[in-house]
Amino acid sequence: MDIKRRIFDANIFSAYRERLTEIDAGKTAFSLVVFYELTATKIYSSKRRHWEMVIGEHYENETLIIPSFEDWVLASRLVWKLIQEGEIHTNLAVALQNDALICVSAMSFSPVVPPVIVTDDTKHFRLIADYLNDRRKKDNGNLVIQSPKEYFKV
Amino acid sequence: MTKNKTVSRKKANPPKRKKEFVDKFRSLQPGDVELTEREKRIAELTRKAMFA
Repeated sequence: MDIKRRIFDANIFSAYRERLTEIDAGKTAFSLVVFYELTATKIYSSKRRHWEMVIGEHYENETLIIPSFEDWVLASRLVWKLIQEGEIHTNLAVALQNDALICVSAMSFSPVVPPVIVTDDTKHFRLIADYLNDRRKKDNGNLVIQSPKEYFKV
Repeated sequence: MTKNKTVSRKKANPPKRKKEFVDKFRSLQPGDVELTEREKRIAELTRKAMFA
């Protein structure tokens, strides 16, 4: 993959939708976990249909990030380790499970040039990214987390 | 004695209807990267999904 793509966390598509350009939406990589977060709740059926078409196009474009067997295992280990080390409270673990899976699968999607993840929850995502960056292979790039303020330069 | 009527700034300059600017993308900037046809389709579908 030659360009550094962005992955937008689920809330960016609602809270910041007026800020997204055609380029932002077109040159992104899309995590299946984000699709799950966007559609597994109470949404209109037309919205759901459109998101399903979005992931179909991303799949054809090879920009859909689908967590693999290894990603699931590593994400699970990562959240468990963060709890053991006291970095996060057990109550937060459930909320962090999806975030960890987004980060881990982003790293394995493009290890040399990992996508930048744009999220409102930078605190927890950076905690996960730090763990992954510490154990990455020498030639691989760092996983970078950006806040919407940094990305959109508000 | 007539009472001066003041018009609030909000009434004098009503905000544009939200719909006018939320259902389209921010205009492209000079030097933006070109999109492939499939990426254009992805962008359009994303726009529909966000504003549906």
